[in-house]
Amino acid sequence: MATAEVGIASPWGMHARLAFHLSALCRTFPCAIHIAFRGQRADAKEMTDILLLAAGPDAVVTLEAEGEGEEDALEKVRQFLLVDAKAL
Amino acid sequence: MVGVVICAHGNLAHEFLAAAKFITGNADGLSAVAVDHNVDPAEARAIVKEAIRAADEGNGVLVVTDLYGGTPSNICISLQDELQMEIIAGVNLPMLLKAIALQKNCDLHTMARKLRDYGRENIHLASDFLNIKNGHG
Repeated sequence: MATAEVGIASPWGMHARLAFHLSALCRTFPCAIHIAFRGQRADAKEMTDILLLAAGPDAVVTLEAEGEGEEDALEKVRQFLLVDAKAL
Repeated sequence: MVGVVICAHGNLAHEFLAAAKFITGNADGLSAVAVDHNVDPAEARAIVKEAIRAADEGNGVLVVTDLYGGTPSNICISLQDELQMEIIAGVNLPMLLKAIALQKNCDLHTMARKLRDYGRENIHLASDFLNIKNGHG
């Protein structure tokens, strides 16, 4: 399993649009992807699951990818939260 | 009376309030606050905080948000230790209409639980309901 800690670049932390696009990105990968925050773990392919983390401003989350192409998926999701999240 | 504040994305909160006013004719105990992503997070938080504070007549405020984990909900959660309030995420119109009926004779915490249950109970799959009525269920 590949894991990484990443701060969400959006000043709002996780929010609805970001969760929507994050889940869509994650569904493009064959491996399982989870996102964890404050002891809770969410299926990153499900928008409402991500939102249940209530990861507000300054949240640092842990990404976990497991299965086919896990390293590639983890890096793309990490970049999404670090870079693309700013514009959403 | 328990204050009720609708807090949601875009114009949703004000549209919910307008619909409640249209149906009941009087929704004076309800208010709405929008979260604007064009302002900075601290300013948005201050606007929401003031709306909740203004709705508190001394018996607390029930805040209803549109989506758990969305920004309006997250802002309200961040205020929970500063204000006398309960939050229900997943507002719907039946819930708001029931809130008007309850807010004058119910305490905050009882009202919050009743409205959460009422909102859940009033989501229907219309075809199921119609099939039962027509004897096809």
